[in-house]
Amino acid sequence: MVHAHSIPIAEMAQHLAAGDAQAVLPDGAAGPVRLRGLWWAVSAGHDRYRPVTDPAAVTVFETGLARLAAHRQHRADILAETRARRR
Amino acid sequence: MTPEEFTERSLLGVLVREPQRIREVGPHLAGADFANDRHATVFDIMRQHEVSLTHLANAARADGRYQSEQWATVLANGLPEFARYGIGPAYLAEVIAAAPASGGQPAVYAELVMEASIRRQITELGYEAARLSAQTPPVAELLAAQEKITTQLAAAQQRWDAITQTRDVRRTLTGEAAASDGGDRDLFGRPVLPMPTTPAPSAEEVHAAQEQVIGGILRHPGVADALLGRLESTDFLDQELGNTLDAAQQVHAHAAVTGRQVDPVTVAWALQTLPEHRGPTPPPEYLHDLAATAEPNERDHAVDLVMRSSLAKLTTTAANTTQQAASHAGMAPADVLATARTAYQSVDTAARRLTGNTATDYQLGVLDNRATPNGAPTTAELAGLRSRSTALLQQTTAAPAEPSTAPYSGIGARLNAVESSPIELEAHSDAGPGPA
Repeated sequence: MVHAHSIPIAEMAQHLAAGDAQAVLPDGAAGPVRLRGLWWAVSAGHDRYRPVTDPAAVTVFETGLARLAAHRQHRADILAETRARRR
Repeated sequence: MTPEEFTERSLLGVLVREPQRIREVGPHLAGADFANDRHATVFDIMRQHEVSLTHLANAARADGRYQSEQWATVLANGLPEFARYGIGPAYLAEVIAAAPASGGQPAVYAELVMEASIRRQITELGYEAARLSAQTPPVAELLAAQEKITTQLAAAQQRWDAITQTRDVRRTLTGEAAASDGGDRDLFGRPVLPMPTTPAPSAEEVHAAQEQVIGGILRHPGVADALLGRLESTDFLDQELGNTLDAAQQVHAHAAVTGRQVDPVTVAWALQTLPEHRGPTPPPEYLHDLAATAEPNERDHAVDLVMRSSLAKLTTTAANTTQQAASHAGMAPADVLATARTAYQSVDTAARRLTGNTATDYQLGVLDNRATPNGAPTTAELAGLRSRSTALLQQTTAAPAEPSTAPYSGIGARLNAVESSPIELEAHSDAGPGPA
């Protein structure tokens, strides 16, 4: 039975490609995704995205996304600094 | 060793070798992100004692104790924290040896370690955290099928085009081939094809050259820039090396967006995302060794050998295809000629891709004037084979040879030019101590 609030992986991949959704893991389409203010994830052994309601899981996703974003910003700053030094 | 473990070791290798580079890692990575407890401990110590370790490294550099084994001892003795957790000079030396020879990209590795850590957390929560390619085998299969159909359609189209020009081909067969060829002839007036003057390189020699080329790409960003656009995985005899090239091309193509440059760690990571049907992938430590043993002095020769090997393979395939067509009772001469033309056009296309010129230019020996080990000509081994294929092509199809518009300057000169230009990278070439 298909859950009333579920999204097929392929459809979620389209949301990601269109920029409507944001994935925690940049390489992963099956990893947790934030879409329309909700977190969605595929439970082990399933093939569709469903909303995540567990607050502990949401915290892990939020923290992961924020940490990676902050690190990427740091990396960009370092690269800009290196380029400026070379000029 | 898994790519995750390889990435952790490579990151620690760079940091232990050059403690001041922990600054590049930034504040967001924590010891808890490492899957290996010992790695986590080393990282936490490095993080905690960043300033004193940098001073220690500067002092060691000043008094000449910065060779890897010596430095490992200085580090282990200079910071009691290491001994407290049972980390001695031998382990630190082992960690240093895991650092990529190219200098490494600690900020990139830190991101990969962080990604792996988040992936583990997601899995522990009971959710899928697999990669895109692992989740979509049907798409990969569809793409493969589509590619096959496209190839078949292109071949059919070429064949049809060739057959519809039968009048020209017949004229070629009856008169122009003999008139246009001024080479030696046998007793029956047939052209004598030149024979190879020296034996072709062995499969072992070609494999060693292919390892050198991949090692060079993994170690020197300039080599990657120069070669990744013109080599293809099919140029490699070894599937593992071919897949490594594909992964390197993937990293290289997305470098502007991801900021990840080609090196053993990023390529090992990218190898995970190749579709499973691509066959075997090499273990990460093999990539590390390839980069570490890449010998700049051998590179030109190796690149040349790989390119010639690929052309030889294609030429042999084309020759076999032509022979099979000629032996087929149901094929008219025009069909045989069309098949030959198509087969040899693929050789010419590959030659253009590899060298930037036509097969004929390549066959004429424009590469032969470059110095090679033992003074042997680099292309002589296979020049004969190419000569024969070109002569065969000219005789059978009279395909118009496209004139070369620019002299081929040599791969070595191109690589030198690329390497001497400034490269915007975080990689620090030879920044730290090498093996003692």
